[in-house]
Amino acid sequence: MNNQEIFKKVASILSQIIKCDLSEINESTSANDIDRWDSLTHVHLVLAVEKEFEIRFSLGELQDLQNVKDMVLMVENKKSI
Amino acid sequence: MSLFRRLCNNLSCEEMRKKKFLLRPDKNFCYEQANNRIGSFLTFFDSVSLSSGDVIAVESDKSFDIYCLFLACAIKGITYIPISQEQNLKRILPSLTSVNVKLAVTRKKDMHKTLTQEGFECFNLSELNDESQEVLYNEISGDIYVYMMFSSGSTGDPKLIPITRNNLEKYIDSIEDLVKVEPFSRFSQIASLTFDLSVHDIYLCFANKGSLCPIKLNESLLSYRFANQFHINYWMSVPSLVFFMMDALGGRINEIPSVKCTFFLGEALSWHTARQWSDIASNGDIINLYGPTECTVAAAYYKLNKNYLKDGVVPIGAALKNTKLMIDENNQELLIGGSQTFSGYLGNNTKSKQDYLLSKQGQIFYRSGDISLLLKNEYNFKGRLDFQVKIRGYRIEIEELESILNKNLGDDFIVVPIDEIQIGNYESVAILYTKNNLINRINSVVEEYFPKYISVSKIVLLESIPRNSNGKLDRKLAKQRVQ
Repeated sequence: MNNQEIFKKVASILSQIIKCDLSEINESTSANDIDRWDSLTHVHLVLAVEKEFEIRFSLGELQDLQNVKDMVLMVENKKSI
Repeated sequence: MSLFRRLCNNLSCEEMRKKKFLLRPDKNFCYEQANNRIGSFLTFFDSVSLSSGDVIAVESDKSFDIYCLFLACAIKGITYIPISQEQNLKRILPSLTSVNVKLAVTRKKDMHKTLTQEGFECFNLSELNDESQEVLYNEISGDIYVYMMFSSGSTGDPKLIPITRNNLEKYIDSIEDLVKVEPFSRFSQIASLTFDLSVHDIYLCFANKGSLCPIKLNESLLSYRFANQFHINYWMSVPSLVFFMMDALGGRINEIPSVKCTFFLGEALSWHTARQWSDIASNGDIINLYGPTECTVAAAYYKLNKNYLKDGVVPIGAALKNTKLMIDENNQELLIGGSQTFSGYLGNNTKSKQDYLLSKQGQIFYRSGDISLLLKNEYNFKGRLDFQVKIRGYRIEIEELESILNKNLGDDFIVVPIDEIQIGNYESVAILYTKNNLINRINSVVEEYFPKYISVSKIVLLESIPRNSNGKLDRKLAKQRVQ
């Protein structure tokens, strides 16, 4: 699975959780950009992504997740191992 | 041995040098590092002539430096007031001024700039140098305040609740009388440092040679993962955190077998939540604590046995070792006395002492504002006397929010708590108003004056504010209008 495919899936998950249009989401999108992206949303997003890709983020990795791009890269790294 | 002597000993003894002081995913710190850092703070205090009885404000994040600073203050007898970006600075500034804060210790540039502009002497922690001194115990009067916390429990400006070294000493003694805390254990630290649940975490941990595991606000919903990774033994949180974690846990049980004892505090605990938690932390005891900040973290306890089949709310229970409970026969209000009870608010407030403290049987009691019933030697919570509710665990008076809106916008408003998470604890509020074209200004007032933890999820325009036949606000009808 390449970077673009992962991005599409992550963006789709995020748009469903925060109920926004896909066009509002790009790689640099973070919680600062979207009002509805609060800590509860963030947890739902993390859990949904973990379930979708069958991975688990470590605590350290969760700390490093600042935006969609970080999440995509992290998923990519985990899937390539 | 006194709490503060134990803290000094634990920080400086050879046995503890390499033991873990703070545990984080990215970095751990040992007691030796903490000892050095605290020594640096003590040297800094000397350099700026800060001494016992002085008051400082501390921009508090969950960093190693801040925990060390709190302990350095406790050792030196300097009173600290935790403040943070989550609070509305404009509302707390008058109280900070009124208690003669000698120095504000800041972390972030914007906090530093704001406080400097308001006339406070400020020091940014990034400028602290490494020059350190030995951490030694000094005898300091038990009447000196160890910390002050803000409470929003009345109309007007937030009140400062000062807690003395004696009060804190007695609280820790009460908890250690209740639970045999094992040394070298691991403690969660979930509550914000501006919330006095954090006092329990910090002092119980370090008095018992423990390791503290701070969990930041945006990590709290996954805090069970921290408990898992760091093998946390003593957990303290508000009950509603369990509710939010259930989704994340996806029905898994015995997820944190390391937890030996859980303390719940800050809001009513339901038997249902207790059952859920007992599935997650199945090896540990659960203790429901109850009490206002004014009585040093908690004043009563109820230890749950393993039978969680009941419904409703877990009782308040019995008085802790160093507290006294009684019920005012006039209005069923629960009164709290004993050596953990404070002696009065500081900061700008219009309430006089007789409004919240009264003398009974030759002793001082704090009026809790909670209605209680004593059944079979257990106190039970039956409701509030006023309109105080909790929003996301934070105590707030609805009338205070309405007063802020009214003062700034000159109209009538009703604020309605909505989306109840637990009994008396809500997710957000709705604002009801009647004058058209006010919505932008309402948003501005909310942004500028409401505490940051208050979430306004609905603003509803009505033809008129609902009132009953006595002309009083009809809050039941208002609630229906929102739903």
